[in-house]
Amino acid sequence: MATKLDQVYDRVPEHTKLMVSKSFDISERILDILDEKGWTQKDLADKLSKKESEISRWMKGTHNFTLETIAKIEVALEQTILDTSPRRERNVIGQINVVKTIYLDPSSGGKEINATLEGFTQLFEIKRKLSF
Amino acid sequence: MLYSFHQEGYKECELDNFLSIYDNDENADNINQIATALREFAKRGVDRRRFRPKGEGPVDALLAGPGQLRLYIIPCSENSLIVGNGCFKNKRLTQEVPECKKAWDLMVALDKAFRSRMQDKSIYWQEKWDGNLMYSELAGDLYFELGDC
Repeated sequence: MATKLDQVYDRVPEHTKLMVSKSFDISERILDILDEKGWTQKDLADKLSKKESEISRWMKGTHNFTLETIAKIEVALEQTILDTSPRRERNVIGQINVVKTIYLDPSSGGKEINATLEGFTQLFEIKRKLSF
Repeated sequence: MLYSFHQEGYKECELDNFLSIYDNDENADNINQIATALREFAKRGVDRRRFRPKGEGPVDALLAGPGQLRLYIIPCSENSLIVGNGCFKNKRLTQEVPECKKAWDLMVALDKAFRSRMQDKSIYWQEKWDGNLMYSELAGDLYFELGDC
């Protein structure tokens, strides 16, 4: 039988569920950084000129963090809390720098052509030289 | 796991009573947040770091919204919360708001009795298996006579 809590939860909008879940994630991240640094919630409160009780409230998972608050916490902790970098950049294993773009003409044995692609009616093999 | 308690003479347990009082159009957003937070605790477990290390005692509160609707809770293990009743704390001190004082005092009394029984082992954690998952459940003497809170 569904409890009263189940009935309430079932009608909670998806965005509220996501907001609370993210608030839990953010507060967990803050708690982990505090642990790493050997700081207490009081230390963070002092850095932010807040009361310890306010930091404690943030940790309960229902706080609606503003971007300004998150930025202030990140400055105080000197660490990133919210990583919004595009997904494709999250798995970067090395830096790729484009050194030079060259066009090769296979009909002339792969000789480098110092020209733009414009004006070529026949497109050959185009290679982008990359270095790691 | 979430536990609440049922006072003699009351129709509902404390959590259901809280929802009956405050789950209305005016407070829907706050109640939604609190209900979701309870589900998150049930899902993620109870991280003790989230609770006041030097608070006023083991009783804590889940808060939601600018109106400061609060639900009193007691973290009692790594995966269990005891959930009580709540209130709008619209004054600085809990003791200044009758609904808050009543709900708070009851939780403090319950916490004291609960911990005493855990110590003398008249309440204990019992391992259970539901066919898929092993979990711990409170067992023993879960009937309390707390007097006038």
